[in-house]
Amino acid sequence: MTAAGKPISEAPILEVRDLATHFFTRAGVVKAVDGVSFSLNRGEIIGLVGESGSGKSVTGFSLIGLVDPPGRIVGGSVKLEGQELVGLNDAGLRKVRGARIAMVFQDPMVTLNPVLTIGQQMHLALAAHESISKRAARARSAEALTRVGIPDAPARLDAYPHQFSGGMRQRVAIAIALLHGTKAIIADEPTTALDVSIQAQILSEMRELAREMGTALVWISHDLSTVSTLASRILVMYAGRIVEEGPTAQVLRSPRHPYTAGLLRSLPAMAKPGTDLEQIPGTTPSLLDLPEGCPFRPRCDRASELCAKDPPMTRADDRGYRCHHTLEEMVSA
Amino acid sequence: MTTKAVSPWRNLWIRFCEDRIALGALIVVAIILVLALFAPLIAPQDPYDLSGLSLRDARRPPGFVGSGAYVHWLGTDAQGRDLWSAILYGLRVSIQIGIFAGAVGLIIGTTVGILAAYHRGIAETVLMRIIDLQLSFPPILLALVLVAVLGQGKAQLIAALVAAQYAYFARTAFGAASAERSKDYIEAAMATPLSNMRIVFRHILPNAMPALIVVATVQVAYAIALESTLSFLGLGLPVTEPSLGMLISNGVKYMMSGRYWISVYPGIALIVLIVAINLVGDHVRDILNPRLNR
Amino acid sequence: MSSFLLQRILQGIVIMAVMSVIVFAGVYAIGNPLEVLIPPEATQDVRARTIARFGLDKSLVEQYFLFISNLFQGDLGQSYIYNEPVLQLIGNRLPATLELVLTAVLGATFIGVPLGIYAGYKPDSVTARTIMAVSILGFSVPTFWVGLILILTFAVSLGWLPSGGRGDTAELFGIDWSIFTLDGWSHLILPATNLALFKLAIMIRLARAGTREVMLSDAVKFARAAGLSETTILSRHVLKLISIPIVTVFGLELASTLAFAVVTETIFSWPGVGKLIIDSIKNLDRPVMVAYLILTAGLFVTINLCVDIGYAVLDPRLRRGRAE
Repeated sequence: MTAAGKPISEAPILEVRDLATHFFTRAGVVKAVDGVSFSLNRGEIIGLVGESGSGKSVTGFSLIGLVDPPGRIVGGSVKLEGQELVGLNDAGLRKVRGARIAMVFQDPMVTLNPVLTIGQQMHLALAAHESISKRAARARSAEALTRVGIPDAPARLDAYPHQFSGGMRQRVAIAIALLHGTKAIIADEPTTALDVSIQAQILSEMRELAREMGTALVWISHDLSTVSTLASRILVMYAGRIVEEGPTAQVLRSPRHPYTAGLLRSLPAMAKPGTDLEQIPGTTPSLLDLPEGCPFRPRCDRASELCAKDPPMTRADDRGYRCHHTLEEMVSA
Repeated sequence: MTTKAVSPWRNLWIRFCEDRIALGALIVVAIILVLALFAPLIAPQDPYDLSGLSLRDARRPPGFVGSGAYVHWLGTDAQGRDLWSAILYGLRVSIQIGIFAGAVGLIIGTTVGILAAYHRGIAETVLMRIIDLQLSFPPILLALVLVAVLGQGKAQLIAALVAAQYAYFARTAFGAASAERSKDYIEAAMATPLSNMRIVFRHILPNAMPALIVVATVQVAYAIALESTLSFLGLGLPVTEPSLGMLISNGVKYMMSGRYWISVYPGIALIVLIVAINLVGDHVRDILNPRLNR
Repeated sequence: MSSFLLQRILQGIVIMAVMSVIVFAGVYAIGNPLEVLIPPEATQDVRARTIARFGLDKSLVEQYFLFISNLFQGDLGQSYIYNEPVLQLIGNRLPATLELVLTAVLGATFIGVPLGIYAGYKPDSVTARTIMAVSILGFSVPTFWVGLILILTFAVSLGWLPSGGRGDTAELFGIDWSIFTLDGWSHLILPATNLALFKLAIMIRLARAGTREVMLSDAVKFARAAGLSETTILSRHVLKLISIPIVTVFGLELASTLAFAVVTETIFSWPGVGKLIIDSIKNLDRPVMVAYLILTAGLFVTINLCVDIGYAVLDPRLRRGRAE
């Protein structure tokens, strides 16, 4: 068992290089993911943060090779424990999905099939990767449900999704993701659709599970504060690219990209009581119609002539950022 | 994925043209409409003019040159009619009935559907119950009984077709209108002293229109098919103005003896017409289905 | 669940009552049956006796209540034309129609649903486009025309199958069935195909539309993320999800096919109720028409009730949750 955050000598479990996923729509090519790189170590939790439309969910789906048409992975590499997934055929991907890398979705109300029992769905997920008797499948499923905190699990196997609350359904989905002792899970905003109190519960349970089982997590969220309590590293995404990355504490303390700083300033917890909450001016740009150079330029108060040229990724002491005018030190409140 | 503000109709047209089969079908429909419209000018013979027919020309195969000294490209029927002329005139009758029945069904059905959606309460419940009951009842049976009750003739036939079909329009209009009705802006408009008629014509109807047009194309095709079926069963139009269905029906008894053309050519005309209309309607439906648009 | 059923049964009874009034009033508005019943040269005396015998001298309301009270005693009246009890007349022909309709609808469902799922699964493939083209044909081309072409091709030109009639039958439960003899099947196959084609198109469309929508759902995406094979997803997840509308339509189509059989039976001289009703419409044989329509309405209500029950069985959300 490895504690999150501790430097690890082993090879990363997931290594992503220059991943690019484009959507070929009627209106033009949408570069939803445009050159994303990161690596995920065993037992590590990283947070992928961005506004809706920033490409963070598409990144998540690209990792397991589940991009719906008209989208397509057009370049880059995704290595799972050394095995290249980009370009792997359907059968190969199928063997990997659910067994070695799994995903939990945003809305637990729609991810489970409403007309099959929980037990049937878990049996199908088990049978996808091993031949297993019905009895053994039930035992394994009940065990997995107990692990995610569902009481009276053996009896609940015969229940249908609508008989569970939203939080419980998300737990079922997590249990399905963990069925095969998966070492990496992509969690696509799994708590966004839930009540705040249940969000907190699930967050802490996920952290526990990840630590106990040594599972690495990519936690995708639009909510910086959620991610900050969970992840050891943060990746901030904007318009299909990672604009800033680094250890959570450092990024929060001293963001280098104006966009990250803006996101932080708009968090209620960061604002001085009694003052107005700050907002990033403007809206997320349409990915079809990106400005030349730095995509954040139109919304940025530090933009200059220089920003008409695309800023490269600068890496220094475990941090990275894409900006010509980095913020060295945020004036702390 | 925002696109520049193109008018929705223009957008529809652009997307429609992307499918070659649908575009081809639309062209076929247009050609048939022109043929039917100008039938008296195109047809070599007036098939309704019984004095112009000669029994010596009866049941002749395609290519036969009859007493009129012109080629019967599609042959002649049992009365000695030129089949090509009969088909052109038959198309006229079939299309007329289809469009009439479709249009009247559209007007009545839409009115009923919007009334139900607009007034809610008991009116909604009662009207929609009747509509649903009717929808579960096969139109052909309803049309059969009505034709039997009302007797034979164009107006009666159209009435029977409308009665059998208006429920589809009502359901569609009701669905679209009640979805629109529950939106905030309509609630807001109803709170202002705008007249109800204005709200219906300005807001509700335009939003229900695309769906209604799809239903209308399908129902026109269906009305044509239903009319030909009734005519085939001998419960359609009077014999003096044969529709395509009746031409087919008249030829059936000669089919077994190898004189296929009397039934087959009118049948082909009928099918090309119905299939083309359905292909057009089908594609428009696919375009308008928001759940399949990405 | 039981209150839901009770409500449905009550609703069915109301519908039947309304239907009986509409049908009775509607059918009795047709022409004057005396022209059919009484030869023009008949004496006044014969006229009066005939009128009295059929109850035609009573008011419409009285005739209706007489009809209803007889109905509850299992008496639907006498046919004007055949001089036979209507119930017996229809009962003798119903098995032929039922076997035709069931063969057609079952065939259409078992062939149409897999084709539709495939067409919805790979909507852009050539096979899917071909399936859809065939379904548009099946949907568009009038049943009577398909029937004629089938006869022309398989009976007249090729001579493989008979063009009409029911063929040899075998007896089961005191009723003659064609499906139990080879000759019966050879007679059944053309009309059943004819009747099935329209239903096949509907089933293909329904399964295709359902599959297309379900394939885009998160439930399917989640199943894929769990590594399920496409075959498993289609056969377990998708089939179960789309089965609900399919069962509904199956029920409705079963009922409407009974009505459509009118056309097919006419073309293939299939001795079922469809031919009977066409003849009775042409001959103004009121008791037969009324009985047929009311029986059909009754079948509709019954089938709809079965569909509702099927719904509850298939869709767990409609069942009462055990724990909530």
